[in-house]
Amino acid sequence: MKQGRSSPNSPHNSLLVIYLGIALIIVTVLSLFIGRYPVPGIMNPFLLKTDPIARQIVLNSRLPRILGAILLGLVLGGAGSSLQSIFSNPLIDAGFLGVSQGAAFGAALALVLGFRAYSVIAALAFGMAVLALALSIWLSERFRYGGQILRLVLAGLAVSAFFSSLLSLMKYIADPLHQLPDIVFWTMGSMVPMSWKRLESAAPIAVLSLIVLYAMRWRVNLLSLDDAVAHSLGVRPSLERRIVSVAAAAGVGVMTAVCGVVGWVGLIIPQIVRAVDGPDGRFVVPRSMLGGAIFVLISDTIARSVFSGEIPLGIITSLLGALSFAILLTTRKVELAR
Amino acid sequence: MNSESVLSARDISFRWKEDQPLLEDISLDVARGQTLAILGPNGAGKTTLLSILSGRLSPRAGSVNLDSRPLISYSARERSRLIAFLPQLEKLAFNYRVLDFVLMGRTPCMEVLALPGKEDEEAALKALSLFGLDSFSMRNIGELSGGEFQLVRIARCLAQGASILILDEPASMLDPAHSRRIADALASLVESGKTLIYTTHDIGLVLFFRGSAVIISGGIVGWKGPVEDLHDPKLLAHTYGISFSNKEIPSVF
Repeated sequence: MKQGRSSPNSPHNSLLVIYLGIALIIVTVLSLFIGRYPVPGIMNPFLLKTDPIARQIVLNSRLPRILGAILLGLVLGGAGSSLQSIFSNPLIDAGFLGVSQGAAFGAALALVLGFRAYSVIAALAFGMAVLALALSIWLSERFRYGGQILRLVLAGLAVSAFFSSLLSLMKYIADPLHQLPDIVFWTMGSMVPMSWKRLESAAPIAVLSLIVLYAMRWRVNLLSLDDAVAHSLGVRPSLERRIVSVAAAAGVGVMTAVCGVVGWVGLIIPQIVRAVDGPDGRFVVPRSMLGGAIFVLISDTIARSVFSGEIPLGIITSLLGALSFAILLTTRKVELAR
Repeated sequence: MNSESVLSARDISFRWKEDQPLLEDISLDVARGQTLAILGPNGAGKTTLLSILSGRLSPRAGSVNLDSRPLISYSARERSRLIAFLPQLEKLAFNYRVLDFVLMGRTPCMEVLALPGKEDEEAALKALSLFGLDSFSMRNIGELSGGEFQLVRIARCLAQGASILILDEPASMLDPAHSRRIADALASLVESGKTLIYTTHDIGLVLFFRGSAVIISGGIVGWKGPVEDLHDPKLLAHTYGISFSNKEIPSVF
């Protein structure tokens, strides 16, 4: 048994989730008033009473975008932590099983085909995310090598690479003046497209995914054990692993269909959460959800307020994520048993 | 079928590949509260047999009965309350706390999507204390030695509350002190009424536990009987293909 650094040897701190909830509320309120109107910085809240433009910006532009960022973060953190547990691999991302690359290809395909309506782009993105997931599961059942976990990891790799090459093909044949910039912007992820309407359309599947992942937070511990042990404890590993995978992929797929590919959140947040208080899914899953929401919301607030032009969200999350990952690994705070 | 058997296998056959039969017509009975050792050379199919007896694998032919009812007719939850299986090796991707790890053993006693409660935690702590591991509960698995980890794994089986323990080489790869500690722990469980089925290559351990033994060799039951008969060097020589002697050597059993 090879183990990394130990986490603190004290009982679990059940208040952490409350602290994270309070932090999320504070960040949400701050984010509502941070921006570039009327001047870059923090808006005076009393402006909401007197200035109809301020009201319009806060309620119809920033609020749905903030709620969308929270939902995206909740889903990415929850999906990342759950998938890492059930595949016994702390280096798996939320877009694992080809979901992110599938969605990216779907959106690029819609743009190349000349569809400009956002609903069509989102529908094709979600459709391809689901197709990628189905393909990964179908392929893993036909691989004649390795156990269930290894087969799913390999199938996810193959399907990701497949859709990634199709995405490259779309970029190659896209009109460089009109279509290519849209595809590139979309693959870098952004909360710009989020509106009340799009939030309403994505929320049901995203919330359902969160409910399933939250309900399975103890079972993911069992699924992280050897399959023979999980079986002995009354778990049906194949079935339950599939339930968690589908819930995670559906949530990530539906949010990616609206916001584009936002990387690193599902990888780095669960790592940080585990470094603080150990790997137990009862605590890691909800804390990763809240941590993901805080992380995406802060990143998006930076993305829309630092410069006069919007910075794609995916760039900020990748930058912050890669930096934190490097810091965590160099300070040995990440537990990698294998 | 032996009416006193809690677990009985009848004419079990199994093969991983069509042209390579592994087990052929294996029959055995285990009475409640008894100990059964399964012996045999490497690759004889002992682990596969344990997987069949614990319900993880279905035999190609034959049947396994638990309390006179086909094992396959039990739901996963029902079965997990009656049989605890411990594989020989267990790799962990995450560095769980010992208490959380043992708590996972309580899952069969909980509602399907419930979290462990106070009484589950008490049961897990009790299982740890039975093996003298009280002070380990807040440690991480990564801080334990191989022998301590093995004891913690057995404590998890115990926390499960099942009356039948099926253990694959529970005392292998351990130093004599830990082997003996684990043997004592298992012996106390048998004394308390648990049924124990295990595989091993350690004849000393088998003789320590007493009970009965079967030797799987060439895919069939080569021999079965009381463990005392394993003193016969000829029987072991026939099983393992190497000569045995009855020299007196230091042993912890």
